[in-house]
Amino acid sequence: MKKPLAYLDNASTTQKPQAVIDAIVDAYTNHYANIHRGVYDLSVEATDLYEGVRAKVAKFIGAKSEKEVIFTKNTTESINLLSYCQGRTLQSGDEILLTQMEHHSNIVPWQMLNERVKTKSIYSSSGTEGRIEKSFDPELKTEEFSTSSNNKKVKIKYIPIDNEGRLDLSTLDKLVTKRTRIVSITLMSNVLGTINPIKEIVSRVRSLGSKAIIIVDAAQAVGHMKIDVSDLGCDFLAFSAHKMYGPSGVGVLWGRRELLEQMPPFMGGGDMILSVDFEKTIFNDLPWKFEAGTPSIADVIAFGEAISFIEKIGSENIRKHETGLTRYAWNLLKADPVVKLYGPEPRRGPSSSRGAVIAFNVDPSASHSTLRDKPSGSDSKSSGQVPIHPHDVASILSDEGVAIRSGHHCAQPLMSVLGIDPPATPEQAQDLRWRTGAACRVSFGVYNTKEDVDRLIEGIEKVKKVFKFTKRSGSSRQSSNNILRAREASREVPI
Amino acid sequence: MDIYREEILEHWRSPQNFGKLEDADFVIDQINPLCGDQVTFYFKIKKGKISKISFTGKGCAISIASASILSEAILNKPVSALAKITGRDVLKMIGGPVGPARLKCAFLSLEAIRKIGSSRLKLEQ
Repeated sequence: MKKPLAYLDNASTTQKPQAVIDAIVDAYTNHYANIHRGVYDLSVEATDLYEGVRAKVAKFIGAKSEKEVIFTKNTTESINLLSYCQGRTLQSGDEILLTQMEHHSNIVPWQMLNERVKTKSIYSSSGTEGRIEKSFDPELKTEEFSTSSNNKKVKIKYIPIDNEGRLDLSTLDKLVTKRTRIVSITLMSNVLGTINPIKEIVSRVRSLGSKAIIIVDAAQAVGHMKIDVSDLGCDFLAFSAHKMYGPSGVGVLWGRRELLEQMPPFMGGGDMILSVDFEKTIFNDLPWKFEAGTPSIADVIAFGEAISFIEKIGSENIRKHETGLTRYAWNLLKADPVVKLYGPEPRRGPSSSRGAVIAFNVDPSASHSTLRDKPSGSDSKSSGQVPIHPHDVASILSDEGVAIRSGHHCAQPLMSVLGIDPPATPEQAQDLRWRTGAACRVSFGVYNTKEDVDRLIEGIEKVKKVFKFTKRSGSSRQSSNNILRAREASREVPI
Repeated sequence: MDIYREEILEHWRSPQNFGKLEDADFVIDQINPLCGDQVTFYFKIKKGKISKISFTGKGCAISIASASILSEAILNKPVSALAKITGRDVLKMIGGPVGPARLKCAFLSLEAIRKIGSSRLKLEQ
C-alpha cells in the first residue's frame, strides 16, 4: 500500500492551495480573454484581474508603484532579463560580483553576458574567445574568472562563504571596486538555508562609493519571510510564484522605476509597443515594455490567490512555524552520528538568519564515534564507511512516502566549495567514488508538521538498515538514543 | 526498494575492476548532467576481444554496482557484442527493475560502453 506523502521539497516548488487551483479554473471558466487587447467586456474583465494582481504584488513586496512590477516566466527569466537589458551597458573591464552560494540561475546568465560584451578582442582572431581563465587570489581565497587572458572582458567575482556557510563580508572592501557594475546576491541559499544580510551588504557596497546596481534573488525567501524592497534597499528583486504556493509559469521582476525606464526592452513583440511602422517601433510604457506577447493570464490571476493565502496566515506566522520545524529537524539530524549537516546552525525565533532548508549527507565518516569504532582492514569497507549517495537515500525515503531532493541543487560551484564535489584532476579520479558530488535536502512549507520530520528520521533509519549500518557499525543504538533524547527535548519546546 | 539486495551492496562497497588501466587502448567518459554522476571506462583490446577492462567514477549504489556488474559481464567478450547489450539486459544483470527515476543511474555505464561501438572500425584496423 502506498504510504501517505510527507512532501519535503518545498524549496524546489510548493504544493498549491485549493483556492489557487480554483482560481485557475474560475479564470478560464468565467473571465478569460486576452488582456490589453479587446474593447469588449470580457477582455476588460480579464485585464482588470490581471492588473489587479500586479498591484497586489507591489503591495506584497513594498514597491512604490505597480509600474515597477514586471511579470516574467520565473526567477530565471527575471535574471536573464537583467543580464540582457542591464548587461548591455557593461564594457570590457567591468566587474560583476556574485557569491559562492548562488543558484546556477544567478551565475550562468552572467557568464553568458560575458560572451555578449562588446570588446575589440571578442572579434579578433586571437582564438581566445570563450576560453575561461581562472585565477586564484590567495589573500581572498576566492577565485576570479574572466573569459579572456588579457582581462579585456567582464570579470565575475564571488564573495566567499565561511565555515558555517555564511558570506564572508570582510572580503567586500577588496571585492568591490570602481569597476563593479552589478552585484547579484541570493536572499536565501537554496542549499545552506543561509539568509544573507542584504540590507547590510547594500549599505556596505554604497559606503564604498560603488554605484553598482544591486540585484536580489528572492526565489527561496519569498513566501517564507516578509520581504520589503524599500527596507532591503536593493535595485532589483526577482522571484517565482510557484515557490510561494502560486502557479508555475509566473515570475516577478521588481525594479526601481528610474532604472527600468532607462533599460531597453527585453523581447520584442505584441503588447510591448505603442506604435509600430515598417521602420521603427515606439516602445510601450512601464511595465508593459518588458512584457512582450500574451502572458500566462490565468496563472497570474491565480497568483493573486497565493498572495492572499500567505497574507491570511501572515508572513511572521509562516516564518515562526518553519523556523520551529527547521530547528526540530536539525536537532534530530544532528543527534544522528552518521548524518553530516551543511549550513548555519538554526537559532531560536524569527531572528534566526537561516531559512527552512537543510542540506545533509548520510556519511559515516562524518561521525566521531564511528571513526573511533572504525574496524581495521577489509572490514572497514563492509562496515559502511562509504557515504551513502543522496540518490540512494532519496529512493529509499520515497518508498517510505517521504519526498526529499537529492543532487547538486543547481549549485555545483557551491558543492565544490563545501567539499561535496571538489574539482578533481584525472589522477584523482580513483578517489571520486567516495565523493558523492551531491547532497540530500529537505525544505519545509506552511503545511509541514513535526510528524513529517519524524517520518524523515524514521526513513533515514531505514536507509541505514538497507545499507547494513545497524549490524556492523555499532552506532545505530547510540544514534537512536540520541535521537530519542533530542526528540524528547524539543517536544517540550513549543515551536 | 528491493533493488538494494546484498549482491548490489557488495558490488557498491567493493566494485570489481575498479581503478585506472594504464595501458588502455580506449578511455570513455560518460556524465549524467542531471545528477552529476560520472563514470570512465578503460578498455584493452586484443584480437577484437576485451582483454582488460576497468572503470572509475562516482555515483549512487545503483550506478556503481551496474558499472561493476557490467564490467564483469563484458570482460573477454568480443567488442562487437557491446552494441547488442540492451537496457533490459542490464536490468536483468542487476537483478530487477529500478523504477523510472533511477533508470539513468542503472544505464549510465551502458551508455558509456555503447560509445565504443562508434569506434569499432578503428578498433578492427
